[in-house]
Amino acid sequence: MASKPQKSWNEIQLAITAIALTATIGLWNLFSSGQKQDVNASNIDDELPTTQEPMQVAGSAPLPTLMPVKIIFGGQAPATHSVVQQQQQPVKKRKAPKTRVSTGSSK
Amino acid sequence: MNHSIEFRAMGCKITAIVESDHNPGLLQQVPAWFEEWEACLSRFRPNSELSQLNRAAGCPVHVSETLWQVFEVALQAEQESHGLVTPTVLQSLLAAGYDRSFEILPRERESALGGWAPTVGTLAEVSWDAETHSLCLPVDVQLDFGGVAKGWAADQAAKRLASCGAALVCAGGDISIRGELAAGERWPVGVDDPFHPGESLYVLMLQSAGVATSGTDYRRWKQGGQWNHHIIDPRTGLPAQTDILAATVIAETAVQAEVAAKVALLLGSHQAADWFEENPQLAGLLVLENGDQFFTKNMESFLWSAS
Repeated sequence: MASKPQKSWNEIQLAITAIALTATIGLWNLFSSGQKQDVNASNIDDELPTTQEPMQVAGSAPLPTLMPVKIIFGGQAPATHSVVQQQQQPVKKRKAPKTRVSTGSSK
Repeated sequence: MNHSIEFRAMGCKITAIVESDHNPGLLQQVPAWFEEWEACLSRFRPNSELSQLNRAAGCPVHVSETLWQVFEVALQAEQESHGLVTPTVLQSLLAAGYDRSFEILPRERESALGGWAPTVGTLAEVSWDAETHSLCLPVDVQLDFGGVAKGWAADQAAKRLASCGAALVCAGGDISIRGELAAGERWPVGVDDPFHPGESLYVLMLQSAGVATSGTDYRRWKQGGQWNHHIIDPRTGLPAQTDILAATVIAETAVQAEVAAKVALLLGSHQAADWFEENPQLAGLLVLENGDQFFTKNMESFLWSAS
């Protein structure tokens, strides 16, 4: 007589892990809901260190784009640092004066 | 405000510029001045006073004030250049094939020179009387004032125009500047790039000075398969063998600059360096055949800089 197929031990382990993981996530979100927040670009701008001297952006150098960060699991948003590299002011080259006469042997 | 006039004379382009509030009538007279000087000094005009003098070898000839003045300038140039710049090279120029105005000179000719070169005389062989302004050429000497005449003409015209305001006259690259520009500005003058015709190698900023360039890069032609040019070395009677392609000199006057540029060219770069040291009143720029460039130290103060 064929034996009744037994549930494999692996399947049981997988089920327990899934339940535990779901429970952990659920509880975490439940207790940390006060700190949970969405962080968007404008929030990050507010969090830029205010002690820094405002930096001059030379010419039309584009500001670095700050990627919005979504905190899925709650907790503190990771600190973001905006590093603006100051470009060297382009050296203005004086234009040569217009010459109406020239010296040469090809005249 | 600058007023200017351009025309052709002496086989080259002439430009005259005057800084003045109103258009000076004197500017319109410049072509007539050059025509008068060319009619007197051109070796290409059979009826010019110079041509008549050249045909009257052996006989004393009373010459005009213009011819006398240019003769005196040429005499001084010959003495100061130790014979390197002399108007007595006409026979050599003819032998080299430069027998007509460069504008109508064929750029390629069949007959070769055959190595023959006439002996170049000196002005010491010419008899003259400073009181009567008369000259007597020896039979085997004929004169061609060449660049000296152009430089002298530029100086004369600029001197006359300076009565109206700061003036610049350019006669085929021989440039004379007289008078001060308003606000102490200086005239920008280009130095032609011998390797790239039509382009300026440098810009000079000048006031009350003369500048000229002597070169083997343009007035050249092929004769018997060999390249010739118009700068005759009086030591050989042949077109100069030099490593300098173009020599530009700043001096007090255009004619002094013209003479100095020709001396530098004839000496070649090594001897020219020593010669410039002996003549610190000159500023020089040499462009060699191989592309190298040499400046005298005092040239820096005339070069326009972008910084």
